[in-house]
Amino acid sequence: MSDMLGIASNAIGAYQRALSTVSNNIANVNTEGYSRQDVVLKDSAPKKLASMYIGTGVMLQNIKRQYDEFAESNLRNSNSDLSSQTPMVDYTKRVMDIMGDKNVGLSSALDAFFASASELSTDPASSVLRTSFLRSAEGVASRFGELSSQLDLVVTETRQGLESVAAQINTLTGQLALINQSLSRSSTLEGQPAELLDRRDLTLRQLSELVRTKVAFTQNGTVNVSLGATMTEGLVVDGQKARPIGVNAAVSGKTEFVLDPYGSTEPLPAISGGLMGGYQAFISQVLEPAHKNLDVLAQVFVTETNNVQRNGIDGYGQMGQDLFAIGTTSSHSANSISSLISDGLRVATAAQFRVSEGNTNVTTTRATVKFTDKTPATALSNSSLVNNSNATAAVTFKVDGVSEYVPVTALSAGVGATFYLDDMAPGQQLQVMTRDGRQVLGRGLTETEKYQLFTPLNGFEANANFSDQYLNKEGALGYRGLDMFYGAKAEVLYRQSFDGNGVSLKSEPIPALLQTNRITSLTKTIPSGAMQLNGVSLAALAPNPNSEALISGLSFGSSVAAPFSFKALIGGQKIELGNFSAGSMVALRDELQASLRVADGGSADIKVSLTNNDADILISDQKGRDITNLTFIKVDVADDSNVGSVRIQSGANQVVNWLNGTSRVAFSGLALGVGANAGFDKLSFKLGGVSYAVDNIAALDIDALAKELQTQLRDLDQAADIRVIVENQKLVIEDQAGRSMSDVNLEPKDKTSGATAGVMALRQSVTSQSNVLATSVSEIRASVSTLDFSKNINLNGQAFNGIATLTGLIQAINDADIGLMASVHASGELVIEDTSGAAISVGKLTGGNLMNIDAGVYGAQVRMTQVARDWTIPATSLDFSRPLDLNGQTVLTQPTGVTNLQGLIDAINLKSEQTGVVAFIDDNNDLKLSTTDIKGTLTISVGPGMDADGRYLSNALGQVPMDYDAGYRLKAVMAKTPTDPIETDVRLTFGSYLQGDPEVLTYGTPADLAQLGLRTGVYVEDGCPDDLLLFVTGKGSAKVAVEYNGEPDNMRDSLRSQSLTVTFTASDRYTITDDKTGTVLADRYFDTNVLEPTIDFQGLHIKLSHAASVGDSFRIDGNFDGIGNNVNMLDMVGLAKTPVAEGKTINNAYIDQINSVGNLSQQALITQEALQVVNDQAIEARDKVVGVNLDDEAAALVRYQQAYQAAAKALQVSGQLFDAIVQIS
Amino acid sequence: MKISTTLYFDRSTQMLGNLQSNLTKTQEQLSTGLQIVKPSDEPDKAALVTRLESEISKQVSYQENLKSVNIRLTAEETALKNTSEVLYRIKELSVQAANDTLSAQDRQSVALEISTLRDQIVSLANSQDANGNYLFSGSKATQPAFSADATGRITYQGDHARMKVNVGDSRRMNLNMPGSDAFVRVVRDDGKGNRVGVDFFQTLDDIVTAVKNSDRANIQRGVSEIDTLQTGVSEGVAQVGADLTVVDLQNNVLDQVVLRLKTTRSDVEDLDYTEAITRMNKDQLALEAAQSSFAKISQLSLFKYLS
Repeated sequence: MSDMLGIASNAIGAYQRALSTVSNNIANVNTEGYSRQDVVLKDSAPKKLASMYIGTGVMLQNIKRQYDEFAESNLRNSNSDLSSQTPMVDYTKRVMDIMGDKNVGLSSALDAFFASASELSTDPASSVLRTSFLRSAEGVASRFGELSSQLDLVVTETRQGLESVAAQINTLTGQLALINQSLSRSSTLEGQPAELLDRRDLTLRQLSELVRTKVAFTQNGTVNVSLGATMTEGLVVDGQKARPIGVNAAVSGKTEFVLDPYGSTEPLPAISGGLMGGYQAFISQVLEPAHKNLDVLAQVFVTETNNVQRNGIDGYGQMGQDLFAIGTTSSHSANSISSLISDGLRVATAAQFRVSEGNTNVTTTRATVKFTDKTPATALSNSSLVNNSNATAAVTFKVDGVSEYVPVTALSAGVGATFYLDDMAPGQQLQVMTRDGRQVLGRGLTETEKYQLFTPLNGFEANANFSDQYLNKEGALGYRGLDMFYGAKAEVLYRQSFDGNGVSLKSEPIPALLQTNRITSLTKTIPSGAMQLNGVSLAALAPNPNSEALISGLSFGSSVAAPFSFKALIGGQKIELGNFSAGSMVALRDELQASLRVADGGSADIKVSLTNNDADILISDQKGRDITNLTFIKVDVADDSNVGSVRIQSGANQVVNWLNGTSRVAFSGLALGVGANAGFDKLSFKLGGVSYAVDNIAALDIDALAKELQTQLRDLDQAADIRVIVENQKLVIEDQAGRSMSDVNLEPKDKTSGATAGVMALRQSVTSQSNVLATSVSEIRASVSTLDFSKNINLNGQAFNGIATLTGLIQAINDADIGLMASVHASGELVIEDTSGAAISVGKLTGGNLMNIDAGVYGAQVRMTQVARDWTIPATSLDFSRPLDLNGQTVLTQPTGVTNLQGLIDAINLKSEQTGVVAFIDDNNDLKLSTTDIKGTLTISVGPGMDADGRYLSNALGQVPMDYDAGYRLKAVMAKTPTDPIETDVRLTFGSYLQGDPEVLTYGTPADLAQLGLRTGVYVEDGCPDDLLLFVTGKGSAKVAVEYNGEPDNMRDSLRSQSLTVTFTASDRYTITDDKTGTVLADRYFDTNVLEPTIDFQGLHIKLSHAASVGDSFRIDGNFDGIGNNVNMLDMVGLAKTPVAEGKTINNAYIDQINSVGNLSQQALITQEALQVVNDQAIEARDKVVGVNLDDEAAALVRYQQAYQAAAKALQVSGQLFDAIVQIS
Repeated sequence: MKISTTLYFDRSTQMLGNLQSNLTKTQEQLSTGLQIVKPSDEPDKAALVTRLESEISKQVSYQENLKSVNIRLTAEETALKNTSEVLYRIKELSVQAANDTLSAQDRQSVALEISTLRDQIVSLANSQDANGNYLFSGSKATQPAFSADATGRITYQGDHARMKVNVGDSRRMNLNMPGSDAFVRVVRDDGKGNRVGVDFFQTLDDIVTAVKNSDRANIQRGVSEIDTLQTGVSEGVAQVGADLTVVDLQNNVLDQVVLRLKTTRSDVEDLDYTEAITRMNKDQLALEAAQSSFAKISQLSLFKYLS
C-alpha cells in the first residue's frame, strides 16, 4: 500500500510544481521578454514484480522554457531591417518639408527674383524697381542660407541621434557581458535559469533594433555579438567582455564609428540595418547629396548672375560689378552667399554697347549691335617667338619661291612690343598692318605683295582693303595718333639717384642716346633720302674707301724757318718725319708727300693735297690703311705758328659727318661788278645765333673772295670749322660744326657797280634741325679684374710686353705715342680710346692677350645724342623792368630801358659771345634761350641772385635765380604736351627716293641701317588697340627677335572706351572710323545683295535692318548713360530659362532635387510598410512559441488542478486502505 | 494559431492608433482644404507642385510686364495721336499760308500759330510716363527726347535703343519707341544734287521761317514735307496700336495659361472633399467598430468561468 501512497504523494508534489509554473506564466503575462514555461512530467521507473512491471507514479522531469532559436533570430533580423527605415522615413520627411516648403524652399525665392528682374526690365530707370530687384536678390541669398542652416540642423540632429544610438549599443553590450558572466556559472544550457536566458534574448532583440548584429551562442548559452558579417571582426561582445564603440575623433565633419575608441582601436566594418544603419543611410543618401547639390546650385546661381551683371552697365554708366559673393566662413557655399550691392543704381540693366543712327541719315535703316567676347589671345600668335630681344633668341624667317612675304606673327591688341630685324638680306623689310589692311609701319607694298598678302589666312579680314594713309606717320597723322616707329630709336632714359639716407630721389632724365655697333667698313652707298634722322631727310652717304686725314687751320709762324715735324701711324706703321723746311702750304704739301712716300717704302699710295682754298692739307691712303695718331708738331713751342686740327676720315667719322651734315649757304649768279666801287662791302650772318660779320672785303674775283672770307671767318670763329669754297661758280659758305645759319647778308659796296650776291640758297645742317648731335667714340674696354699681366698685348702695331701692373700698362700705352689714351673708368674698366675716332687694332698673340679680348680691328662707334639746347620761357612770366644776369655776365641793369620782347632778345644776344646764350622768339611768341655750344650741354645760369641783405632778387626772366642745366631743360621739353618725339628722342628711320630709269620710288632698307651698326626695330611699345600683323617682305632670310610686355586688351573694355562710326561711302562700301582721332580703321566692300547687311569688327556684330544709303552713318560706342536700357536685365530674366546647372535651369535643378528627395522618401515609406508586415509576422511566429495566453493557462490550471485533486484522492484512498488494514488487526 | 494575450492587446491598440491617426490627417486636410498639407504628405507630388507654383509665378510676372507695357504704350499712343492732330492743323495753316490772297501780315500771324503748335509738338514729344520716364528718348529715359542743342536747333537727344520685354515664354514685344522713329526726318535735296536728311523740328522751323518770309516755294515744300512728317507719326501710331493689340492678345493667352496651370495645381494639391468626407466616415466607422469589438473581445477570458 505504501506504493500507492508514494505514487500519490509524488504526484501531488509534481502537480503542485506544475501549478506554480502555470501561475508563474500567468503572473508574467505582461512581462517583456518572458518566455512561457512548461512542465515536463514523466512516469517513474516501473518496479519489476515477478515477471511484470508495475508503475511507480509520476515525476517532474523538467520545467521547460519555450524557445525557438530560428524565430528569435528571424525577429532580430526583421527588427534591424524595420528600424533602419525609421530615420530614413522621419528625416527625409523633414528634408522634404524644408525644401518643398513655400516659405523656406528656394523655388519661391527664385521665382520672386526672376519676377522682379522681369519687372525691372519693363522700367529700368525706376529706382524703386531697382531696389526691389536687389531686395529679391538678397531674398535668394538669404533663402539659400536658411535652407542650408535648416539642413545643418538636420545634420546636427542626426549626428546626435547616431551618438545616442552608439551609447545605447554600449549599454546593451555591457549588459550582455554581465549576462554572459552569470551564464558562465553553469556549464550546460539546461542548467541555466530561464529568466537569465530571457534577459539575454531580450537584450539581443533590443540591440538588433539599434544595429544589425551577428550572434553566436555557446554550449552553455553565453552569447558573442559582432557588428560585422563574420564573428572575427567587429566583435562587440566577446564572452564576458564588452567592447564599446565610439566616434572616430580623427574624422571631422562626419560621424564615423570605431570599435573600442579608448582601447585597442579597431575600424568598424560597414554597419547596415538598425537605427544606426538607417541614420547613416539617410546621411549618405539624402542629407549629404541634398546639401552638396544646394551648394553647387548656390555656386551656379552666384556665378551666372554675376556673369550677367558683369556684362552690363549700371545706372552710373560703369561696368556692372558682382551681385553676390560666396564667403569662406562656412564650409557650405549656400550658407555664405552675401549680396555685394546695396545701391539700386549699381544694378547693371543696360547693354554694354549701343549704336546710334546719324542725325542726317537719309534712310531709316536701323542698326543693332551685339558684342561677343573673343577669348583673350596670347600676346603673340607665333609661339616660337620668345620674349627676348637679344638677337640670339631670334627666329629665322625665310622668303623664297613665288612668295613675296612670310608672316611673322600677329601682335594682340594692347600688348606693347618691340620687334627687331637682324641678319636680313638687302631689301628685306618688316611690315606692320592691321587686320583691316591699314599699313602702319614698313615700306609701301608692291601690287604683287598686296595681292599675295591679303587673305584671311594671313589674319586679314575677308573684305579688308589696303591703305598706306598711316604708313610710318607720327603724331596726329599717325594711326589712331599712336607713336609707333620703324627704324632705330633711343628715348630719354631716367637716372635714379639717391640722397644721403638712401632714399630714392625723383629720377632725372638723361638725353636720349643712340649708339651704333662698331663700324669697321662702309661699303654701300646710302642714297640721298633713304634715311631720315628725327624727320630730317639725310643726304647721300658715299663711303670713301680711302683712308683720309684732313689737317685744317695750320698756319706758319713768323720767326722759325723750319717750324714743324710730323708723325703718323699708318696701318700700324709708325712714321716720323723730321723738320720741314717749307714755308708755304704748297711747299709743305710737296715736301710732306715726298717724305711720306719714302717712309712708306717708295710706294705712291699716299697722296698729300691741298684743299679749301689751299688752307687745309688732305692726306689719303689709297690702300685704305688706317691712318691715326697723325699730327704736326711745333719745333719751337714759343713760335706763333699753329699746327691746326686733324680730322681722321674713319668709317665712324664719315657717318658722324653724314649725320650731322653741314650748314651751308650758296650764292649762285654772284658777280663782283666792275669799276672803282666793285666788290663787296660786308658779309654778315649768324651761326647758332651768334653773329659773324666780315667787312672791308678787298677781293675782286670769286676765288679771292672765297679765300679772304674763309681766312677772316676762321679767325673770327677761332676754329677751322668754317670753309668758304667755290663750287661750280657758286660761292659756298659752309659750317662743318653744323651750327644753324641765319640772317645771311652779302652786301655789295655799290650796287651800281653791278656787284650782286646773286641768288642765295641756305641749307641748314641736319644736326641743327634734328636736335641730334652725332659723335664718334673709339674705345676698347676690359674689366680691371680680368686683366692678366702674365700675358702681353699688341695695340696699333705696338707691342706691350712684360708689363706687370695696371699703372704700368696705362703709363706704357700713354707713352707709346700710338694715338691711344688709357685710363681706368669709374665703372672699374680699363678704357683705351682713340680720341680721333680712328679704329683701334689689337694684334694677334698666341695664348691670348693681357686684356683677354679678341684680336682684330675695333672700329669706332657713333653716338647720336639728343641735344637739349633750348629753353622756352613763357612770355607771360617775363618782366622787362627787372635786371638780368646770364652765366655770370650782366645783361640788363635797372633801369633796363627794355620795353618789349625784341628788346630783351637784343640785349641777350649782345652778350652772347660772353654768355654762350642766344635768344629767339619761338613760334608761340615766347622767349627761347639757346646755348651756343655744339653739344648743347652748357648750363644757363640765371641771375642776379641775392642782394646784400640776402634777399633773392627778381629777374627779367621771372625765373628763380639758379643754374638751369641740360637736364632741367630736357624736363621742361618733356613736360610739354603734346610731346614732340623729335625734341626728346633720337629716331633714325627710312625715307624714300626715286631711283632708276624709269624712276621708281625706292625705300631705305634695314640693311642700310645694319651697315651703320644699328638694329632695325618695329617699336609698338605702348601697344595698339587693334591687333597688328607682322610680315617680312623681300627675298632672303632674316631673323626676328621680340620683346613684349603687358597682357592682351580686354576687347570689351577697349571697345567700350572707343567711339566708332560706320559710314557708308559708296553703295557697296563703308568705312569704320575712330571718332577720337579720325583714323579710318577699316574700309570695306560689302555684298549689296544681302538683305540685312552685317558688319563685324573686333567682336562687335552690327546688324542693319536693310542696306543704308551713301552718307548714312552709325555710331557705335560704349553705353554710359543709358539708364533706361534693359538689354542686360533681359539676359538676367533669360537666366531663368537657361540650362546652366548641368543641363537644367536653376529652378528646375532645385525642383529635381526636391523630386529626388521625394522619391527616396516615398521609397522609404513603402519599404517601411513592407518591412512592418514582415516584422509583424516574425513577432507572431515568435509569439506562437513563447507567448503566454491566459486561456491556455486557465486550461492548464484546471488540468493540473484536477490531476492534483485526483492524486490527493488517491492519497486519501490509500489512507483509508491503510486504516482499514489497521482496523483489521 | 495561438496569439498571446500581450500580443492581442498590443495589436489592438496599434490598430486603434492607426485609425485615429488617419482620422487626424483627414481632419487636417478638411480644415485646410488641401490634399497635400505638407510636402512630405505626398513626397512624389511635392516637386510637381513646386514646379507649377514656379510656372504660375512666371506667367503672373509676364502679366505684370504687360501691364507696364500697356501703360507706356497707351501714353505713347496718346502723345502720337495728339501730335498727329496738331500736324493736321499745321498742314491746314501751311496750305492757308500758301494761298496768294493772304497778306504778309496774315502770314505773320499764321507763322506765330504754327510756331506755337510746333512748341506743342515739342512738349508732346517730351511726354513722360507715370514714372517720369521720357517716352521717346530711347534708353536715356531720364533726359528729354528733344531739346535744343548748342546751336539752338531742336534735335533728338535720346539714343536709338529699341528695347523689348518678355511677355511670354517665347514672346517679346516692343517696350519703347525711340523718338526718331515717330518724329522722322524728311529727305531734302540740298540744291547740289545731294540728298540730305532734315530733322523733324528743323522741318517745322523751316515752314515757320518760310511763312514768316512769305517764301512761297519753301511754303510749298513745307506743305509736302508735312505729309512726310504726318506719315511718320501715323506709322508710329500704327505701330503702337499694333503693339497694344498684341498686349490684349497676349493678356488673354496668359490668362488661359494661368487658369490651366492653376487647375492643374488644384488637381494635385487641393482636397477632394467628397472623397475626404467619405474617407473620414469610413475611418470613423472602422474606429467605432474596432473600439466596440475590442471592448467586447477583451472581456472574454476563461478565468471568468473559473470560480
